[in-house]
Amino acid sequence: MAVSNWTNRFDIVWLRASAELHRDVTRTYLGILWWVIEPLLYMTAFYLIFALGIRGGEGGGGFVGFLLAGLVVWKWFSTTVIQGAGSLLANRGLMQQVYLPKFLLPLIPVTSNTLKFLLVLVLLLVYVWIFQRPPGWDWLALVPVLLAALVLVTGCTLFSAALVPFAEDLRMLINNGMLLLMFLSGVFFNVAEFPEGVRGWFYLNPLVGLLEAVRAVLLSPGLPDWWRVAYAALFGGTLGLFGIVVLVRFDRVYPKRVA
Amino acid sequence: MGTHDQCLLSVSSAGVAYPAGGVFSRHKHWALADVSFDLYDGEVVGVIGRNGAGKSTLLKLLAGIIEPDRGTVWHKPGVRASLLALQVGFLPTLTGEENAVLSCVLLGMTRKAAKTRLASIAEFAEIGDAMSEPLSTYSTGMRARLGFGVALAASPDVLLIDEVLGVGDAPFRRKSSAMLRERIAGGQSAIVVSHSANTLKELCSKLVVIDQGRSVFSGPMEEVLPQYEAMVANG
Repeated sequence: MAVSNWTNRFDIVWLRASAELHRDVTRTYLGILWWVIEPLLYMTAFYLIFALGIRGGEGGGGFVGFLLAGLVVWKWFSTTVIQGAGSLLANRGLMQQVYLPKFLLPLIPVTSNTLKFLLVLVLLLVYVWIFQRPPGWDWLALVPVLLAALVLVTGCTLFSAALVPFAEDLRMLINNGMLLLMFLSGVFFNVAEFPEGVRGWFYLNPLVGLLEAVRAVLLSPGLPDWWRVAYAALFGGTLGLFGIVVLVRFDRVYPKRVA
Repeated sequence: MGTHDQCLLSVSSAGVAYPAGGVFSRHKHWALADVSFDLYDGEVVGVIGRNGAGKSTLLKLLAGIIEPDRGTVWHKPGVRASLLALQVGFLPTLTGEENAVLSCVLLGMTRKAAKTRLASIAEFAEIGDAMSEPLSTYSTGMRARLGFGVALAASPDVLLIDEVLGVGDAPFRRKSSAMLRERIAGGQSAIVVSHSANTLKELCSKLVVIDQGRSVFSGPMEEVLPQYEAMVANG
């Protein structure tokens, strides 16, 4: 019984996540291409503004890789957290028909967006290989870095999914705060170049260290700052644990709150 | 608890309150105030009451979707009670087959187990080749039939029914209600909620009357039905 219970839970998340990917692919003419077009459009916009505009063209080719690496990871984080924050509300009807463990609901966007991210990551690696740097053994360091990123994404998603039904204001805060957070995460600038006094504050945001780590591995030889990677994992792990505890504790209260 | 050997489900002085107002508000609305009754193995209990008496809340409570805020709801260990819920989690872009599997999984089956039921679901729903077409191409009747087929395949220990005996077109309505009756005659334990005394008289051996969130009468159908009718007649 216990084993089939967990199989059932895994099946729920897996089937719903693949249904979401399937819908993405079938409902538009370009289908799966949108997963690639979207970051490319962002990239072009930021490149025009930051490399050619503000920096007066001195950024050059290196800036494209820098931007892409940041954007791809950022997109994974922001889309998942936004979808996850609304995941209990989006399934309010389902929740009234059957009992299902609520912590599964935010894990659905985590799964679907992580699969999308992996596809886009492959394209990013190809780009870096062709235009910036051939792959080396140090690319393997990407595995622990991305695992830490997965912990951070999952943790923030569980945390927001757990709290949003108690105060929908939080959802508005997340939706509106994402843009600000993008500016604070070093998606299109290098925080390491900031003055000493300001930098420390920026690193409190775990995304800053994480994006730096991804770039450190991909774009230049050498290894990332493991302390910053560990900080991101710890940050995500703590939020995720809190989220799970709340989701389990109020498992049968949510259907009343979001009715 | 020695009296529970055959008892599948026991509700005792159960109440459910819904929060009214914001997160910090202490104000509550008691949708169910004080309900008690037992369901024994193989029994069909009818629950009757006017609109707003708390019938839907009671079903959600029995299905384990929500918990009582006072009193208790006891399930015999291992007994699964679930709503006869139609078209649970159906998504228009998936095929009939994929929807049937997804729905079965949401109702508690593993994907493997769900796939073994596909043939019987398709047969019952009279859908045939369309099972591999997207649900968005289905007529309302086809969706209803597929939904009912899945609900039957899920077969919980205690079936909770919220007057859904009328889905689909007339021939299918007859077929689905015949199917339910057959299940019930075959010893399926069930709780049927309705505001129609006629439906319940046919299906149930026991009746519970709910009024303003309280179970006011409960017992054998022939005893309780006249009490209910008297209550309704007196307003």
